[in-house]
Parts: sequence; C-alpha cells; structure tokens
Amino acid sequence: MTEVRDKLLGYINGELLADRALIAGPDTPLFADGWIESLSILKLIAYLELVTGREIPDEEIVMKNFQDVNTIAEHFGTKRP
Amino acid sequence: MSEAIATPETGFDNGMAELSRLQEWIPVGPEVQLGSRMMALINWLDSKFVAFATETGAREMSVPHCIERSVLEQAGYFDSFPGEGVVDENRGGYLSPATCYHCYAKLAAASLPEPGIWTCISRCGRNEGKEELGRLRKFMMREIVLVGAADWVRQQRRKGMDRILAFAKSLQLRVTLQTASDPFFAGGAARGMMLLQQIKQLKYELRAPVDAPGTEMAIASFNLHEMFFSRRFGFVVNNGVPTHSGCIAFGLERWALALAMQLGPERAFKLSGEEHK
Repeated sequence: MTEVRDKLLGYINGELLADRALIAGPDTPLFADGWIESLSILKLIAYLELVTGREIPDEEIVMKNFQDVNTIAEHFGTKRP
Repeated sequence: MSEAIATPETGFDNGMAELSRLQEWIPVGPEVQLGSRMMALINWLDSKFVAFATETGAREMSVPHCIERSVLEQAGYFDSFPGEGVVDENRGGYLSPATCYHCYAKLAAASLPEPGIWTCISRCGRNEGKEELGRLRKFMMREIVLVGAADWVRQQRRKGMDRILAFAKSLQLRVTLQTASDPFFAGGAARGMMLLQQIKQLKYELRAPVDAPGTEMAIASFNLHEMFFSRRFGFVVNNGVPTHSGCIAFGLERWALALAMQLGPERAFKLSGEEHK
C-alpha cells in the first residue's frame, strides 16, 4: 500500500500537475477545485492499472475510492486482482 | 450506485396496455401522440414544478422554439455527446437537446449581482439511436437553472432533490435517486468526463420503474456543471466570484408515463382533476 501511495504521489506531482504550481499530499482532495481534469483522470487510472497490475472497472471509480492518494492506495493497493 | 433512496412500493397495473386502449399514448415512430387526459396530467405536473421553482425564488424565463447550432457549439454539446444527433426543425435551427442551453445563451456575458434561479420550458429533441420505453425523439423538458458560488449551487441542488423526492412519494410514485453519468461514448476525453461526473457525483437521476421490475426510466436529473457553462458563456456572479451552475430537469412525458404505468391511467389522470392531498 505504501509503495502504491508513493508511486501515485510521484506520478501526480511529476506528471499530472507538472505544469502547475501545486503539490499534492497524500490527503489532498484530488477532485476539489479542479485539480484533476478529464484527460488527467484517464492517465491516473492507466497509471494505477500499471502499478497495481489489474484492470480498474468503472464501477470502482467513485469518490469513496478516489478521495485522495491515501484512499486510492488503501482501496487499490491492498485489493488483489 | 451507492446512494439509492426508495419510496414505498406500489404495484404495476398493466398501464401501457390500458394507455393504448384509451388512446392516450400512441407511439408514432420515435415520437408519441398524447391524448387529452395525458396532456392534462403533463400540464398539472408542470404546474407543480413551476410552483416548486418559484417557491425557491426562481424567475420564469421565456425561451425560443429553436436553438442555433452556434449556441450548441459554444456549449460544447457536440464534444460532450459525439454520438447524439440533434433534431433539425427546418426553421433555421434545432430543437435543443436540453432546455437549459437556452438559458445559458440568454445569460451570456451577464454580470449578476447575486446568485440566481431561473425556470424555463421547451420542446427538446434528441436522436439517440435507441429504442426504449419513454425515450422520445421530441419531448417537453422543464428545467430549473441555478447560478452562483459552488456551495450555494450544491445546496440548492440538494434542496431540489429532497423536495422532488418528497413530491414523488406524495404521489405514491416509486422512484430511486441514484448517482449517474451521461452516456458518453467510451474512449478519449469523453470517457474521462464521464468518470469525473461519476467520482464527483455531479449528476443524480430520479428513476422510476416502468413496465416490469428491472426496467427503469429517468424522469428527472439534478446536475452540477461546476464552471463549465459560466466559462463558455462568460457569465459571472458577485463581481467575479468563481461562478458555478447547475440544473434540475424534468422529463414531462416520462413523469406522466411513469405515473400512468405505476398507478394505472385512471388513478393518474385523477391527479390533474383534483388537487393532490
């Protein structure tokens, strides 16, 4: 879970928010104030699938699982394919 | 989705067969001809939605019959719904796919001194390429449009959901309120928009079972647009506070159909003849 969390934080800050003066922390609400937009979420999900080695079905892409990096890592970093 | 609220269960009454026998719902291709009692029910329902809107401070806005293609382009309609066709009225314009597009066009470049609520009604048109009960090519949509700061718009939408859920319950109409996303075609940025809608709970639908258990029809939707339309049409509130919008939409034929099918036509038609208690 920690590995997934650290990789996600690195990807979000290094790639998704690269052009912006924003640094996300593990508990930053990713979907408040337009931090993550439509193209970025697709990249985030693709990266999450790469890191976890499993396909993420649309049904699991809900706020409960995507509130911030901690909740993403908790849900997807511990669940087996 | 996770947030489903159900009103008490009522029975089906073979409503469609009865509606056909009474000649109150006559399918003509992808459109429908309504009998006078269905029309009366629709008008009664609309009067209830207007009353709800004005109770919340809405002003009525008159909108034109047709909408220009340029307005739909400005609204991003063709990017957001690449698979849907618009309905050409051969009068130099289209039937709008949703009533609220007219409203944003009227608010273009406006500087609003305070948050605002408007309500308007129009005949809408969509070529969705699907054949389902209640999915009409041309239909009437009443909308309530909300413009203000993010928290205010979200609160107004919540109030609207509570009020309309209570109204459905008072009619003994069985419904569920569910998070939803628009049926974008999969792939590309459109899928991203759909997933964002899903995560951020931007869209709720009030769905009513019709015809048979497991068959549902969306009769209302409660939508947050964030700053999508205020940016595209350039309207601001309170001297430029980040301006959000939202809308509450009612498909009038679908409400009447759901009532007739769940309660039985005769019981549904009585609603428009005597004030519901």
